Amino acid sequence: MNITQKQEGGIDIFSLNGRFDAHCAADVEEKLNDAISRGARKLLLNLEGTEYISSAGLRVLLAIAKKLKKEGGQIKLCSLQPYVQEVFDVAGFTQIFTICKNLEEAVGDF
Amino acid sequence: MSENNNCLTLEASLKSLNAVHDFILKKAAKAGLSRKKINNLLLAVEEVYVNITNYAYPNDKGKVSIYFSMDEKNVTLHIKDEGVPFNPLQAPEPDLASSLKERRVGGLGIFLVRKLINDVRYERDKQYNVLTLTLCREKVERDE
Repeated sequence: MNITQKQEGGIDIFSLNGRFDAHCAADVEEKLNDAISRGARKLLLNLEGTEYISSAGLRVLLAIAKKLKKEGGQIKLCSLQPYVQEVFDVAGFTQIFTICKNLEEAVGDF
Repeated sequence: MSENNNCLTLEASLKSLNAVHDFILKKAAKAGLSRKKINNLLLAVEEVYVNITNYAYPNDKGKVSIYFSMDEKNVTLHIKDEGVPFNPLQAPEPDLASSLKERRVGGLGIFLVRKLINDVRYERDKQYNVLTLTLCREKVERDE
């Protein structure tokens, strides 16, 4: 898993490339938590390069979403690939996350 | 870690997850599975394997073996450990309708396995926990 990070108009954008599995979950969580600790309240996860997610990845997303909600922030996701979308549907995550079609739409949605 | 044709044996550790995925990818390619079924298999094996690394050997290191087989209809995986007796299929189902605030973090792994794999069975065989995953190779209508 390769994680790149940038800021655009007050939004912290993380692009995840590779399998979002149990092996990298702790690393992703740490990077997102670091951003929140530094004061980030608008997080955008670009999942264009993520073709696979397991429950470990879902767990990180849920934990971060809960934490941000408590802090008055929000997380949005964009560019879900077909398999990730399917896992989201099965796990009931489609209803609890804001999911945008692409990066542009997501940035405009904040 | 040892690998012969259809069996991978390794020490139960999160660090070895990539080796587990590589083994499944290799075998799934041989079976000619669709991209979606390959992902279902990767996910199911990951969930079971991670459970074993978390719970099977609380005080010591231990091994996991993954056996692959296939016939005309199905791909079958047996995942075996020598840890404490544990039937993951007895885990309670998550409440998918709950809101973000009420939603419990975790508990989704085995639920996903049940949903994405055609048949899942647990057996305690002497000192072993054996979980058997069966995935239908044929394309069924809802597959794509």
